Amino acid sequence: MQATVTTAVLFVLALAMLPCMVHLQAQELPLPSSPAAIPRPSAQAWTPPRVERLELVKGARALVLSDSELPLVEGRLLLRSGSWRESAAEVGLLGVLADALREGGSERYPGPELSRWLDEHAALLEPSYDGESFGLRFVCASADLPAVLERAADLLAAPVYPDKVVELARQRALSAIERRSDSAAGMAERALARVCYGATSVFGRESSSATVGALTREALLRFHRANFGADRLLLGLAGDLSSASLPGLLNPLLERLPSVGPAAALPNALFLTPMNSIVYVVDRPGVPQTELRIASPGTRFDDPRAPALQLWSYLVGTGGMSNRMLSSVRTEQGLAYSVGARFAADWSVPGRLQAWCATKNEQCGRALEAMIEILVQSGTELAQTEELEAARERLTNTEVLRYDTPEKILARALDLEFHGYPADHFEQLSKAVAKLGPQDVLKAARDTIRPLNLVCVAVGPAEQITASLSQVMQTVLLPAEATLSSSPDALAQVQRMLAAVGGKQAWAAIKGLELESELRFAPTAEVPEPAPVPQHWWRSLEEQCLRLEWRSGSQHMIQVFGQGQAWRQTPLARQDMNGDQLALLLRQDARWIYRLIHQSAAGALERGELAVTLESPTRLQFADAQGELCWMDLAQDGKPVAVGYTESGKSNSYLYADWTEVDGISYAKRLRQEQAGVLSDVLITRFVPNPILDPALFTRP
Amino acid sequence: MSTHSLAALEARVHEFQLDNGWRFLILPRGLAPVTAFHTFVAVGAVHERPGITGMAHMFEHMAFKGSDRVGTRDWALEKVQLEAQEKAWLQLRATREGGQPEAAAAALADFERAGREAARLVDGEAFTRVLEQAGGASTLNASTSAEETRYMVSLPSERAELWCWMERERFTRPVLREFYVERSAVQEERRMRVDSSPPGALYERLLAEAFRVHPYGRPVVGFAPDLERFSRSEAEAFFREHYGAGRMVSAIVGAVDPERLRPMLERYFSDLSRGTPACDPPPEPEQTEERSLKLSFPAAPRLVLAWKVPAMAHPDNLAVELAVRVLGWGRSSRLDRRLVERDGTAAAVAVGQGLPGERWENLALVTALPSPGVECARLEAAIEEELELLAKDGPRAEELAGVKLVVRMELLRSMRSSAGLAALLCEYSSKVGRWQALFERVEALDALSAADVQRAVGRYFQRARRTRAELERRPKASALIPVESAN
Repeated sequence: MQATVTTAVLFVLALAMLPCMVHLQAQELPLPSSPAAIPRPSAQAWTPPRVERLELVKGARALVLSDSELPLVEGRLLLRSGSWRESAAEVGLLGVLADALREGGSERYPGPELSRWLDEHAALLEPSYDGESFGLRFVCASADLPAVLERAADLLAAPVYPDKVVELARQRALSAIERRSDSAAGMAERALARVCYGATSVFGRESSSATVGALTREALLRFHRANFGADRLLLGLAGDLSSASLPGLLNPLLERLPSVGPAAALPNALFLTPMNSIVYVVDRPGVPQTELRIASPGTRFDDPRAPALQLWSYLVGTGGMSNRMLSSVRTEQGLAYSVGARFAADWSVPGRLQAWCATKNEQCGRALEAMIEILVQSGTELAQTEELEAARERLTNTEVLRYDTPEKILARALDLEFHGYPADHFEQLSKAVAKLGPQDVLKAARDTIRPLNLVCVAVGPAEQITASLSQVMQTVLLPAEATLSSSPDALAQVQRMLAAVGGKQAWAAIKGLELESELRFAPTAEVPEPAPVPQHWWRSLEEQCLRLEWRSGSQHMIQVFGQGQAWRQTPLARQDMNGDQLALLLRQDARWIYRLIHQSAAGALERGELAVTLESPTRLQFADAQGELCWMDLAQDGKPVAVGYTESGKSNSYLYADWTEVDGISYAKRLRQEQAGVLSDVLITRFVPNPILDPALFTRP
Repeated sequence: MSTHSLAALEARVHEFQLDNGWRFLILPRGLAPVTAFHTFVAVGAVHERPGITGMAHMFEHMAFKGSDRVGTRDWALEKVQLEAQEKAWLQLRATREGGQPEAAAAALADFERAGREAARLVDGEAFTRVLEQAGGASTLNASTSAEETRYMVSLPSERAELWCWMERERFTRPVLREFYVERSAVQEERRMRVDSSPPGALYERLLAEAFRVHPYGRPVVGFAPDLERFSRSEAEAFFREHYGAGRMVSAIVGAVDPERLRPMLERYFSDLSRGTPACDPPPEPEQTEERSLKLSFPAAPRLVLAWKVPAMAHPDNLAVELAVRVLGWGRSSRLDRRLVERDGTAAAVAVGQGLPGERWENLALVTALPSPGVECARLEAAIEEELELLAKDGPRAEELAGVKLVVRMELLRSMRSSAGLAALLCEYSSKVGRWQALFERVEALDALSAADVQRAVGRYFQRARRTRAELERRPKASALIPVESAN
């Protein structure tokens, strides 16, 4: 105690004499006894350098930040044309296009010459893309900037895409597909996107050897011409340059580019929450460690909850080592080296909450449980004020470090400009974070984390880890690839079935169906003579879109799903369905007999989107990228007699009879269904192949 | 153009050395009022003895655990519990190794109990919390290589004294609390980086094959059996032996005033002991014939060819770097043009140099990912052909000019961030002995001729100096058996 007092007194005296002593006798001053005792000068007043905004011809824009310390310029050229805008049959196109565009070069600067010129000038010009954008990133000596911009513009205005280069790019993309299971983290991320949004959603789908294998030079050119226009272009430049000369340099280049009109709106990224939490197990044999992911729906950056969720991230799982996830799972329990969680907000579509860790196979159940406990606690218990303040300081005091290079400043400004956010977005975010209290963070976490509806993925040796994970929640084996393979004997049975119901060619041509039917429930003691329920269906077979209208008593009811949305209309109100309801409907729809027949006929089995195996000589088992779908029993003549599946421990079966021909295909006039113990009969009164399906039928009013 | 800018930067570097040997390099610059702090300690995996591989890396983890006054709730009590836990661990280890299962079970219970008691007295993450709350949350980090350990953080500039205080605390009174739990996290790191990673597993085997005597052959993360065995007291002994001020160099780059900062650095770091200088590890005997290995792993095939090349301070080092770049850097490099662009036999080709370290003779390597259906042997033959051509004719004038410019530009680009520049200053100061060598390297480029590069290829890229490593796909497999410790 005496020593403490003496030190304290000395320290006070030293502080009092500081102005005159600090330079002369610095070494004799006692050192502070704790970080809190260190004098803290006030922060330097500082404003980030201004990013200039230039309006260019044809609606193009540029953001410019001048900094002449080093004679370099770095830049990004962004076009609103990312992989989310690829067609379903061409997933993977942008990867091949990016590769072939750069390797093939332009008419004036063919690929090999372009590469040689860039290498000889130590400059980089590389394509990149994500869901929303395609871009060219460049770095060069400031003196070379005009020549690099000229070459970049020429790539966009007059690309060559030589056949041989396209073929090699395609081969490299196929090779990358073969290698993507070499990374456990990559496998986990891909599987997670698939189960969160569905394998056919633009947010969950992935390229396959079938989609990449079918790409042609014409397909690349078509996408290029439809999307790469000056009117969709945003350019960012940082470094040793003057903005004054840029319009004169850029406008003539932009004049050579076409205008292509605005990009199509993105579909809704609806998160498919399961009815009960599920861990999807992806088999990766032969490794000692399991990669774990947990996901829940997230937000956009402009969501009012975003500031609270960002602070939540720093409290629970990101921004250094003193968050809950790292403190508990790694530091206290030693279960993982890499562990964390964050709300990954997105600019244009809702992101998702994600937690991650990698742990040895033997303890993966324990690690998953530990992570879930932390997530759940964050939505049920108020954070201590001190802990929340620490998280807030970690977040806000790092802010200045996001502006310490010209590239970082420019990147932030480009993000805001590209996505149409206000220029003071981050300033407003900081202000909002400063005002948050424990209740705000708790509420945001409670509103978004649903402990009973978590989506989890585990990538590891399934044989070793499934038992441990089953202790925590239901497990489902998920194929590593969305592309599946079928057994030859089962494929032969499918061919027999297709022949029996009208033939492969006929069913492949069926893009949609319109049906009218009568639904009649089995009599019960309460309702001895149930009235038939008239139903009217419109279903697209190319996409998962459905519209069902029926009468309940005197009331007209409508239920629709498709394009990431689902709603129900009653005479009183329209009710939007949430992710778990949509997930259920999509899964049911994937098992619908006519969808299975159409997909089988249209090549889904050959493309690996569906797989079929033979369970017995007459029973087929179908699966898709999200796991098992259903079984199908065939009659001797090859026609389906029953389809069934078990879900949440309850069995569902559908018996088909009275196969009838219309327009060259067959359908079952009668259906008896048993859904979770409830019996009903359906009589099809009208069956119309290829009706006119107005998109308005599936569009939310 | 670049020479002028580099000279301007070089002229702004302030250097001084304390009497105890700690060198400081201060460079004022920057757009924002932030400063990057980097400390290099000349201790790495090569300084470990057999049986404690991974210890340098393990200590790097422990350097975030605080001191006797940061991170504890009651140091006097915690100290007792830590000693009890250590005693229990040594007892547990002895009983396990002595084949006494019953005694081991009792010792395990003692060890776990002592660990729980000690954990109650820990103020978890207190050390990192201080720096993270001060603004270092996204940059506070450290890394260990074969020959040095780096500690880095970027902070708002007004927190310079806080950095001094924390760095002094870390190196003068560290407490290796939570050692055994952190050791489990490090074991997970090994599983992630090596045992579950195709390139990581192949690289570990390659080093072991290429360096049979020099400790470059041992993995930085450590062999699995060593990670299971070593103790906190051994880590403390490792720290006492290797962490002296004489082995440290710090670079501080950002919005700082060197004249005001220097007295502060002297005040905080002058009284640290110099410590013992690093000893050179045993040299690797000259390789006289090609070595080769195959690893079966559940992953797509890959091929690595590696040649012994001279250390960073060797006069031929730069010529080797240029040769490697002519061979495989960039889309117009010889290997890329031939294997990826022309033949389509490889999905990708990459080159590297300075692995696993640069102080001693090390490896330059070519990694090739074969396209589906292509045998590694076919790629190997093509790579050797390109090497022979380079050895026979040397680089073309425009190739050489291009890669020289690339080296300059890469240097400039890595200097754009203050953290990148701080790391470079430390690296050259620590490995070559002079930070000025960073800038001199650019000048040395001009003096190199095509004949120098040709000579370097002929001298170093010989079959007899080569180690070949191939990963072949194993579709269904059990877990890998880790490479045994060399002790």
